[in-house]
Amino acid sequence: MTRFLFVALLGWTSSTVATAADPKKMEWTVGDVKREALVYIPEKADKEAAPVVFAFHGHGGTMKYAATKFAYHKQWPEAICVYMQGLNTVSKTDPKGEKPGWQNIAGSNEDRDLKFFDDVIKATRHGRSLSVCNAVLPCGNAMRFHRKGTQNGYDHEI
Amino acid sequence: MLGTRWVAELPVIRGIHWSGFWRGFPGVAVASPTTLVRSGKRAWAVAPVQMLTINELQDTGANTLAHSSLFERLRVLNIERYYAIRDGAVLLRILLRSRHAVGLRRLSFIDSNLNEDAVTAIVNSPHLTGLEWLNSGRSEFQDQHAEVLLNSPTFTNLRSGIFRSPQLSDVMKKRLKERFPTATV
Repeated sequence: MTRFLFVALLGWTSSTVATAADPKKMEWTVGDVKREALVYIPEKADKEAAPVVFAFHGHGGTMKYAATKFAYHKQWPEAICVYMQGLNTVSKTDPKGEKPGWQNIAGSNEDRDLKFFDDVIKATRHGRSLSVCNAVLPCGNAMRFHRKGTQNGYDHEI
Repeated sequence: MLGTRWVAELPVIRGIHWSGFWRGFPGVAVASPTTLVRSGKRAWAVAPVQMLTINELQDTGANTLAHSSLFERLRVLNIERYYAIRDGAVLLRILLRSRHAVGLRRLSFIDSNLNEDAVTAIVNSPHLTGLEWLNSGRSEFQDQHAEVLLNSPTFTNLRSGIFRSPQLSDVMKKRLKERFPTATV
């Protein structure tokens, strides 16, 4: 099973991202698909290493809702906070895949969300590992630390 | 399991013991909150500390925390082994009269003993407006204090807690239970 290194202390280097008090929308092209995330960048992140938090909305949710509801950037303004937007995904509760969600296991959906996650991580440098775990769903244990109630979406801090 | 791993990977900061989790974030225990305030930058660089356990509340610690903006980031404050008669209720007054106490959601006294002055310091705090849960521990919690919890606009967010006291009347215990059905009275 594919395992991913979650990088926790990272220096953000993208010069295209303005420092902001609120999360700003960023776009990535992953394969042929445009992906979006709301990203909060602390003021000092360009000068010193900052922790990174990824928050995943639940099935049918949105990055905007996650940013508002979880609001990790308010609870931990020292951290870079990334609220990624999922794509329409087939699930048990959504067999037609009409609502946004996440691949639920490595290898499914052509690993589109893992690739997206990787691309977001690539936007950083000076990383050093804090923990190793599977990205996306297999890391879902961490959701217990935050909130319950999400189904195919998981929020976990790194 | 991931929680254990996370805590294991947190750096050693002298005087700070990583202890438990509050809504997904590691908490800390300190002998004196002065330690936390001094090391605040290092602690918050690796975790958004929202839960603090104070093992020994003393004058310096109470003053330091009361004047620190880091206090405002705390949601849970556990105070252990605080004996108001021995340590003085003034420490609690200092702490809870701080405008930075406004972020607290849970306040708990563990292995502590609050005299009347100490309980008064809690219910007279104008800044506990976000408090949702209160454990007054062993205390001289009296009807007049309970009356404040029931009626003061400061405590409109209070939902439950532990209000054990031999000095509470049966009538007041009943009223407390009516208002806070899940509370231990």
